[in-house]
Amino acid sequence: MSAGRLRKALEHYYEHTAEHAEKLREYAEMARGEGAAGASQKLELAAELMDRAAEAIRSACMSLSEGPSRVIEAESHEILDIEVEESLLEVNRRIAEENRRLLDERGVYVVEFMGSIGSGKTSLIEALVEKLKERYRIGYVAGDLTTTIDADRVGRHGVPVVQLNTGRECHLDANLFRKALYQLDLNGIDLLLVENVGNLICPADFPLGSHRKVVVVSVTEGEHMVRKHPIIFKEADVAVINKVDLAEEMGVSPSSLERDAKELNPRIKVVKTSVKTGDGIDELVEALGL
Amino acid sequence: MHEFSVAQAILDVVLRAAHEHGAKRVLEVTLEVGELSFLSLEQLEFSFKVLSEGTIAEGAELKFEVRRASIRCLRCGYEGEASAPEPESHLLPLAVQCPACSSLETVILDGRGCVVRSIRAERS
Repeated sequence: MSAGRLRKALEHYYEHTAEHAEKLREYAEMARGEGAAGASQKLELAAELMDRAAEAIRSACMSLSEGPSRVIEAESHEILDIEVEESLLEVNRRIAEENRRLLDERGVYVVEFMGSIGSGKTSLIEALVEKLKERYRIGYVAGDLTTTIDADRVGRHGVPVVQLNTGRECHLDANLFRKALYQLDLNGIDLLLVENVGNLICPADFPLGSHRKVVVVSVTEGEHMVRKHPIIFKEADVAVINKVDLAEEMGVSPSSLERDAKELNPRIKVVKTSVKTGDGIDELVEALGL
Repeated sequence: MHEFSVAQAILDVVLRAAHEHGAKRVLEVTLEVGELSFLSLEQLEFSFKVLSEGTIAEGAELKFEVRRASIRCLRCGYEGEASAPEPESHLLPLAVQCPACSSLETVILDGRGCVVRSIRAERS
């Protein structure tokens, strides 16, 4: 008889033996019900021996396993079920709160910009830096996958800049942002502009600890940009509709984008801007409370 | 691809819990993922598989429990489950729309998280 067939036969036998043990326990119970305590006790013992027999057959069965591919089922007492209950995004949120506390202590006000690549985040920030650099000591944190193009651009305006290259990641997270904060002289600035990675999806899951969140969309991205990204608009304080000088040519109505944003978030402030013509920059400054 | 960093965080949590309990191999990880969390389960599974190679969690099965979103409507005051979004939804606004009055003026109360609930492991 091959090991495989032997195992099959024993598996069958094991099942029967286990069933017999169960049956014997039932008979023991019945005997007890009839007042025959001695018989019941003997039947219990038989059931127990039968259990041990079943276990021995099972164990023999397993040692007859063929080949390395067969997964040996661990016995139940060797399995651990571990309750963890650890929230992953919560960890980010906790660090974000710590960042916020640190920033408040040092009196640094943080405005975070989110928006797709090419929506005009960097140009808007450059315009704000020019407008505000006499009134505030400004710092800038640029998030990008690999380049330093944005950091170089804003750096030319004479403000301290930290570049955060995320490598493969599509968003900044609170931990990365904290590293940027360590590199800045927080006592030397009172306004920090943060540019998140160009993406409207992922940054929504990872708050950094900023005081104000700005979402930037431009009319060149089409008329559905707001409705397609409801969550980020729900959490933003200010929505910027940028490149309005191109609205007519693009056939996209800034007012309909504004309506979409207000519908998703009635408290959001909407500002229509064109960095090219300078329209709306003062309104943006006001909307940010600066 | 933020599934990669989330998968790394999951792996960290799993390995720590496994070591604390003296496990030699992780068989199963149960995750609770909010339906508004922007996590693609397929990508998460793939990232976890790649990252766990060579660790005691290699080959562990990820089990997902989807946590329903709940919202509060600022217009009619409804509070409870949001409308069910399509799987991998491209119609996300529906998920934040009030099922009672169809308003989009809602606040998300729950359903954005990702929680490692439990792991099943083999004792060493």
